[in-house]
Amino acid sequence: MKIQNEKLMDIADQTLKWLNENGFKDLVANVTVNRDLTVKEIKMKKTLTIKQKKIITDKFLKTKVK
Amino acid sequence: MSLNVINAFQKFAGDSALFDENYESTDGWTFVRTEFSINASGNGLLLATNVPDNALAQCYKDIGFNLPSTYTLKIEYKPTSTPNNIYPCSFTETSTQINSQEKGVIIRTNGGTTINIATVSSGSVTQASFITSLVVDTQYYVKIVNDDSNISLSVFTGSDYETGQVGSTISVTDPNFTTLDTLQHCGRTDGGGGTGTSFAINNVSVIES
Repeated sequence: MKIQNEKLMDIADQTLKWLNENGFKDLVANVTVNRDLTVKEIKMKKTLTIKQKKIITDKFLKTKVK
Repeated sequence: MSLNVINAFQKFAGDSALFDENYESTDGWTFVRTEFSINASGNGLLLATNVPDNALAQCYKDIGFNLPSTYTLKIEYKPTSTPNNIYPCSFTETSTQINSQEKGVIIRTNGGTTINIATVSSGSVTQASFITSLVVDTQYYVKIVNDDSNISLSVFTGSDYETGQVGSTISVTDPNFTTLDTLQHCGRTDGGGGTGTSFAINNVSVIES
């Protein structure tokens, strides 16, 4: 069955919500969600510290954080 | 000469507008359901009235050319109810609704008085953080700039599209679409509780930059 955009947008919404609630409010530029429903990439507005980046990659194991 | 051709060569003082939709006629528009109306009672507006979030309501128009690689879009937007999940204004590859669309640059709202920008492609969806501080019944001027690297969205209260910025500028990476030739206003179809969303849009311009 073809994945619909609104399902992917829901996942992007949930990802943005989690980031906002975990100390990254106003730091996130955008989120990309693949058709397989994985979060492909989280693009930040500025370079994160190693500790900050680890918080995200621990939650989103397969996601590229830029 | 078709209206689209006239629009394509229409010029405005200070801007080189490729297209301007002033919503004074339904020429070229196709409507799905009745929640979207254009120039009802001669108001010169695109009105969305209680667009549901669980059934397809839509209107669309072929603008007669593909969006260029760099451009500025200007859109007058006024939310008249607390927006639910909806796509007030988008440029897409086909007239297919947003939920199933394969290529598009989309303005999206989702709960509260929020707005953001997203792109959909055959492989993924990318969306920016939401601007969350819009107020119902306030006239906003939304500017989208594609500089061939990023597509950025800014919201202003000033009609000059420069003053009174609301929140910060948000952006997504430019997917370099070359086939976006359809302007559409569309509701959500995938679930939701049936809540309606209302807004008004006017004067959508495409300016090559």
